[in-house]
Amino acid sequence: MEIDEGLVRKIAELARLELTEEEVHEIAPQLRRIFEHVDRIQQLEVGDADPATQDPIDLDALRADDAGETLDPDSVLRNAPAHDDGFFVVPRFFDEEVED
Amino acid sequence: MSEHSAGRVLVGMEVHLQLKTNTKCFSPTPYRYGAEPNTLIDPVVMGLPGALPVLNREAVRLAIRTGLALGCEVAEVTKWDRKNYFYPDLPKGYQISQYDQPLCIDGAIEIDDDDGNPKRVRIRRAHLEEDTGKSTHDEGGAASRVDLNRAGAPLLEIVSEPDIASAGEAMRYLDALREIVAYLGTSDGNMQEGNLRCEPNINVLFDGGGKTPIVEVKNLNSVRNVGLAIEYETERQTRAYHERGQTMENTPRSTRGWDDDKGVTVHQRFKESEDDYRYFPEPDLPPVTITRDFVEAEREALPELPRARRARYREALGLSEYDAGVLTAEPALSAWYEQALAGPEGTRDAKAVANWIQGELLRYLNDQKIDLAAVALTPEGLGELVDLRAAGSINSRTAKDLFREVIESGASPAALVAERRLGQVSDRGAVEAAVRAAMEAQAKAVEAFRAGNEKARGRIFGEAMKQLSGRGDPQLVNEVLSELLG
Repeated sequence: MEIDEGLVRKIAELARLELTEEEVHEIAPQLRRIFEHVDRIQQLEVGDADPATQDPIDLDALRADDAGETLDPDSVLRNAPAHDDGFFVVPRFFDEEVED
Repeated sequence: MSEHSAGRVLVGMEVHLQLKTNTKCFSPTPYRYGAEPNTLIDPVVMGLPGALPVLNREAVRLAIRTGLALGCEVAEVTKWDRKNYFYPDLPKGYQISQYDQPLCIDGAIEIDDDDGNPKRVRIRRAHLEEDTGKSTHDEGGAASRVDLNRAGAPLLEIVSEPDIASAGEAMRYLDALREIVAYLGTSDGNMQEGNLRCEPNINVLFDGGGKTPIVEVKNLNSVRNVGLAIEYETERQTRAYHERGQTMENTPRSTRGWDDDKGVTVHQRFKESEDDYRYFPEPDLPPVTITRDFVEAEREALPELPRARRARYREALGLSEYDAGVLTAEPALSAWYEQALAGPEGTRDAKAVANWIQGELLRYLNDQKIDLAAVALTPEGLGELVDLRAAGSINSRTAKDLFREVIESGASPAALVAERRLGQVSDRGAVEAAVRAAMEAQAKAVEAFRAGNEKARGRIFGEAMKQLSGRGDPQLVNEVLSELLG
């Protein structure tokens, strides 16, 4: 994969990171070096194993459907920048653009 | 309809079905609809550092049970992946979903097409993932409110092929799916409470190969609205194609929301491409092996499904299409009917039992505004009543009176008949005595009848029945009356 400044901008957008042009300029070669390193790791012989996943487990090993403890709502809401009446309050994120 | 040449609408349905577990998919927190906001949360749901998901076995089982009922193949090894995107109703910044190794693939739901012929809507995949939280948006305000109770609840996402060819087919597809999960008990399938949500993907094909861009419609909270949205989109897309030359080639896929008040769809956004979700295997969950023994045991445990049951009621029991539909609409009612049918000497008269249920029982439920579970009468009780009638032991009036009593008390009709000597009087001697007594008591009516007044006969008949405390075999009373009146 070609690591260029366009890709850095796209990744930054997906990660909701605001980068200045200087930062993009600085990060692109760094990211390229990281990818070169990963490319070297990918050349390792690992046999048949799928390096991205673990060994499967049986259904029996899964959790039974029994209820455990829940968090205290007040302590959770306290961590939020804003809350009201038990709800987290966030900047409105649903924009309807009416066309046609 | 517009004046433009009509195309052929194609719909693929994405359904999110909330599975009926006690606890969430990846953490042991209970979920129930309607709880106070943010009271059903835990470190996994909140995405707190160090919290690890642990898969709920029952969620996997219910997903497999549902997949099997939809005729799917169940994967031998299945795994979970992270679907990455930022949204305030998803604190982790990713949803645990399944990408390339879904739990179930290649099924179908059989529905009727618009001409009433059977049609298979193919199911591409059904995978198990976690639900997101729920957000509400202040009208015209600058804020959104988030309740994370629902986040992490187990969802089966069922994706159909674009085999649905009309609004009617889409509605019947959803009805069929809701009915199947009700029979399976794997989900409440209630659209109002959001435990069944659906997003139709709609586009229109024209002669010559022209296609409109695919539109996914969200925010549909009833089957009826799904139908309306498909009709609306068919027209809107047809217009956009003819008037603005909008095609799949020149316009990206988009998401639109259904506006219930206006009855229209409203543009929300053009879709992110699949790449932008950056799926990768969930490192905190190992893949799961599903043994063939487990799959076969689950397959064995499937109940008869509603469509097959309706066919059996029509073909083997001789019920009408309508009766079969009423009796299978609710799994509890259908189970009740099945139990009432099973007599000590084999299957009872299916039509007779059906008539009692559809006439008296459903009317009673309706009048009292209660459901079947609250009724004292047992299916065995109704069965006895049907047997007593079939044997001629009680007449229809006694049967109806008894029904009204036992539906409240739950007592055995056979025991009541024995105890109160309610048995129908079919003894010829007793009937003759009663008719003679009636003719004496209604001497004037006898005279009138003999003088040619046909109506007077009814008064004598009524008197004879009264002499028999209403238990006379009406046919026999009539017969004797005719003889004695000459």
